[in-house]
Amino acid sequence: MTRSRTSQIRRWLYKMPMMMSCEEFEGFILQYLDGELPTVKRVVFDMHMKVCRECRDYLAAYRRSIETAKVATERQAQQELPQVPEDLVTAILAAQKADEKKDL
Amino acid sequence: MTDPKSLVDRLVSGDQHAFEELIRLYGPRLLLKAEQMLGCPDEAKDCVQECYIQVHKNIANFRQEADIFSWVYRILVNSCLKKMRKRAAATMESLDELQPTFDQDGCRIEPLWQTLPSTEEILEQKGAQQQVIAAIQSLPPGMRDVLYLRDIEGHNTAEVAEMLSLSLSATKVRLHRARAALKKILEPVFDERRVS
Ligand SMILES: [Zn+2]
Repeated sequence: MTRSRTSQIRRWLYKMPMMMSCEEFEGFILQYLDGELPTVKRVVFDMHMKVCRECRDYLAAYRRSIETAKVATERQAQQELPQVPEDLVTAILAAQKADEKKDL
Repeated sequence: MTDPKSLVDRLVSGDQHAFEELIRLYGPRLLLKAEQMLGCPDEAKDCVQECYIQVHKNIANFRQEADIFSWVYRILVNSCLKKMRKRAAATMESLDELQPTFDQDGCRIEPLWQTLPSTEEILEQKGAQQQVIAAIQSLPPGMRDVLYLRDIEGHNTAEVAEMLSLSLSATKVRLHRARAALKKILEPVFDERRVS
């Protein structure tokens, strides 16, 4: 089936009762992932996902990027870290001395 | 390896060398944490500096039975959060060009995936970890801070709203836009296995 034929079907399908458009789907993603969608809305959301490859792929990549961001950040923290830059050590020591003077 | 207990004793007695040791001992972890939280090396350095000033000032109040690293770490995190709160209040770029697109009938315009690679597959590509971290850092601060606290540190949305002094609805809008933008930026990193 060609892409444009598919689009025509999508256009028609998403206007049926118990269906939502991709744009509406987008607006419910946050609640869906947090398990906060009321049952009826969730059924409609799931139904859209079943019939709409675009939204299915979009949501999969959306979730994958969150997961990847988390794992990449965690791994970065587990790697061996470079020493503190000397200029920062000097700056902290100087700032601390200035702070002490201020308090006297 | 420095013994934390004796280090604290020396710090309380005002030993300046002990203070420098403390900077060198925990500095690397604190600096990375601040960079991850703030996404900006200069601001991270500022926060680490501010943290150590606080530590020096308040070391007498430190309870000896507690863990010195946890105590210092908490001071740093609070210092970073203060910075995040300040910039959360500033106006935010909207990043419209990184948001999903729809046609006039509300149908999504989206590239399809032959197979979406797993997180493992994505991160085993050379340089991918650094690219992913750079992508997070490239988001406008007002948005990335929400994403960082919610998706990377794992706080719930209400907690993030409170941490940043934002309304719940503003937090949700920022979170969703940040995630959508991140997805868009990461697509090329995920790889080329797309249908269209
Ligand atoms: Zn759709």
